[in-house]
Amino acid sequence: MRPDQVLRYRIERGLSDKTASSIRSLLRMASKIRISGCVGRWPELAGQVREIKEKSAAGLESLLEQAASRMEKNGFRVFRAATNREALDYISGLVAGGLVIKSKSNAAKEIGLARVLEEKGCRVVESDLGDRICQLGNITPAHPIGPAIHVPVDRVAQIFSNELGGKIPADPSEIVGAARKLFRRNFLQMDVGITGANAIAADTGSVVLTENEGNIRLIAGLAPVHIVVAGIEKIVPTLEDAVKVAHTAAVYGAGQDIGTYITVITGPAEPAEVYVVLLEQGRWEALRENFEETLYCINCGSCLMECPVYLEIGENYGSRYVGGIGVLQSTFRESFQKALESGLDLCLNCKTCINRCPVKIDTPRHILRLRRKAAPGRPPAEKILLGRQKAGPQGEGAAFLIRGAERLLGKRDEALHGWRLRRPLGSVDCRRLMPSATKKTFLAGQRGFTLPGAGTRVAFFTGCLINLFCGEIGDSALSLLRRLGVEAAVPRRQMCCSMPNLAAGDWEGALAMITANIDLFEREGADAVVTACATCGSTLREYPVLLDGDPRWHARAVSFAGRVMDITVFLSGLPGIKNFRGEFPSSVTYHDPCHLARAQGVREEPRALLAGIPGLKLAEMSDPDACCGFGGAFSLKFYQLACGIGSKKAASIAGSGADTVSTGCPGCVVHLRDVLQREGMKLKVMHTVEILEKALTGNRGGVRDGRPAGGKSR
Amino acid sequence: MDGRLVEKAVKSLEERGIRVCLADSGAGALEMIGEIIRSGPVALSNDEYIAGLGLCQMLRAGKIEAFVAGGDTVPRDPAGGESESLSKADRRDRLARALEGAAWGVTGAAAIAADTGSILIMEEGGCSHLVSALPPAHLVVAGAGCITPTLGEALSRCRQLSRRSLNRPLAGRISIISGPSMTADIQGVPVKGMHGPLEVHLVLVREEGKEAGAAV
Repeated sequence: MRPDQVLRYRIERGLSDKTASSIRSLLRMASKIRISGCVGRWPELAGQVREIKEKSAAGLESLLEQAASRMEKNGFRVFRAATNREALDYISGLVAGGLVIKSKSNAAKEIGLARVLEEKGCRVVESDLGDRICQLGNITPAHPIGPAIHVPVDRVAQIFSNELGGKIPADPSEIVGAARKLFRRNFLQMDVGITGANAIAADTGSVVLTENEGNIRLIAGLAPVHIVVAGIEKIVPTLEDAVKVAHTAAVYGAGQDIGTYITVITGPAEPAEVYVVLLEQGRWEALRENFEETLYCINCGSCLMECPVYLEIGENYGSRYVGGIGVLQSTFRESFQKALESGLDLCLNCKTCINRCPVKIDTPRHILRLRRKAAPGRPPAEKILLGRQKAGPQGEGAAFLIRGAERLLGKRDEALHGWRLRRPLGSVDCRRLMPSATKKTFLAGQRGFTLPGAGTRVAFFTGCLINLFCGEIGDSALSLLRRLGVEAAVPRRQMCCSMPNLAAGDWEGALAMITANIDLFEREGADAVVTACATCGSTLREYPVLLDGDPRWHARAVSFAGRVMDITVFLSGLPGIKNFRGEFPSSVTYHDPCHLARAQGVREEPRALLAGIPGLKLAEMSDPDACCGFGGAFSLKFYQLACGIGSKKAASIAGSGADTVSTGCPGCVVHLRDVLQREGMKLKVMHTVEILEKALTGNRGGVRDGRPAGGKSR
Repeated sequence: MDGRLVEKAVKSLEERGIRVCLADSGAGALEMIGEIIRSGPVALSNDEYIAGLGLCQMLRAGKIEAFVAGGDTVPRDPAGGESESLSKADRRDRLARALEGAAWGVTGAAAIAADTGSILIMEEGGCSHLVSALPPAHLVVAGAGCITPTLGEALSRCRQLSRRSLNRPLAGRISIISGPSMTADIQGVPVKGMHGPLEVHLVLVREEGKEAGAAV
């Protein structure tokens, strides 16, 4: 099967497992407040661990030497495994057979250790209760934190009754008591114990492990042979650093002030032997290719808790390691093919994970970087579309293809001002409601000159969506600016911000447009570059990062990016913004676009602007900054996922009781309109500037079917 | 002694689910332990501080079975046999079985971290690690002098103690214990005592000018 077929299969499998999905939602709700409260009590940990991990990755070679030699001195046998194969062979050589008791270990899972030992004839017992329930009941784990949390209590009672004989009551305390006895028998007969490591301290040569149940402590205390399997990225400079990593894992992973147990093993508990297998597979490659951030991961799982894609399909997103970070790990630790199969294309770039991550790994950015490798394998139609992006201003290069597709392959939905494909085209779903491209683009409709304003002069960065589909948002933006005395230039030759190309891995195309934009807007010489598209805004502001290391462009990118600002931020600073002539008598709920709230930190300004409008009642929804599921090409290629994510958003919106949704990104506008009509909801979806413009000018204009009247005239 | 530090530590420890009693002297501590431990067998870690308290004698006087685990004191094998001829592995097995049968494990502490509410037990070749892990209840006796403001400082204290008594950077084991053993793996219901103790008690002895409980 091709990687994209495997991925489709995984998505289907994930979407069809409703039990696992509801467990994820429940765990998310249960943990959300607990984790954020706990993180608030330990504000210094994140920065400290980031620093520890930066230092560790930068000095990994010498730390590895130091840790290995210190551990040898402590009486451990240390084995450096360059590959998974080497690790497996070494461990197979150590374990002759018998009873092997395991704790949860990412590295052991990564190398597939349990299966290999079982094939050798060992009896492998998982000692984490949840894992053991799954193992005994032959149940697929539902969640990394609570693998068996979805198994009903009477089923768990039955599983242990079968093992122990007799009848155990279906009560968690009773079952735990019985399971404890069963496990104790195992522990006292254990031949080999296997654990991972949360961290390894190079200075003292200590293995540091954290847990709540106490199974790891028993392995460490009772196993005649204790094998520790850990990736070399677990090595940190000092004992204090290592304990901090373990502490942080509990705070961010479980919302616990500290794990019940942290065990620091610095020498074997004689006469037991301790073997430490340090796994190198793929780690040096990650470092060499400047993906060192992927080695900062402490496996707390916090990033998964709010990842929209993970919440939809669970462990089907990722490989041996789960989620977006898992896709990154699989690139280096497994293969690029595995990364494609496990969802390299699934990251929405919503940046939720970065916020949640204690070490602030920029997973979306690294995923974009890796997609570069995927660009040559894109389907021809996609390549053509992307190639046309740089052939003209914002989307115009591809406009004839888009209009042609609508005319030849589409079926118009007059009521919804859009169209759908008559039959699926490649991976594009025919249920997806597409916006119709206006006859004339927004940019083509601009006069070649600008009306002089009183003071400030800005350049308006339009963006492909406004240019081709949502001209009314652009109209409102310009009308607002001009009414407030701002001279707004709209450079005719402005190019796409480059996000669609970046997202598809076409860096060459992206860089051509990026540099063209910098050049063009420099010549414009405006005080600020203002945009009404959250995604454009965040991409423009990332130009310095994208041009990092380019001596010709970097400084210019910094100066350009410094002038880019979202229109709501710019408007908030204008004196006339409160002089409303009209009103907007509606209940409005505000959806935070990912690329405005998280990427640019803009949350307050649009709310304050809306709240100031006479007649407008601002009704907050729950999780206002949760992604709507648009993700650009994502919503075309993975429509079912985009709808699943959108449904959750729709539920939040419905809960607000509002009659209008306001947001700051034309992408969200387009997607929310589709999502809400699918859910049978009659709310209007408007860009913040459209609402503001109506209130400020007193222009009734009328809003029809969720789409302002201005849009059709083009 | 810093009263506020003790107060902060007690608050954190109790938040972690550890039951704390404050005693003003060793004698007071013994009295409290007598109240807490009502039945045996009791396994005591081989620890100078605990030996100095006379806890084993006190328990036995109250007709509670007590034994010192580790060191040369190997509990009598229920099946008979001579302890002198046992191999290290057999001794360890027998110890594990004895601890498995104990109702209480009593240890000292090397340090207590006030910020996280954690008890640090450190050992080199002993078995306080197992004494704190196997029985269903764990009691820690420690002097308030071993409280440090943070977990980081508690680790520094462990380093100092290791260097002083072993002339090594760090002793073989540190167990950082912050509550009773827990699981929530069955339908998310929290249950105590999965693999380790269901109860953790701390008797904190406020003896002026005495560095107590440095168990290596």
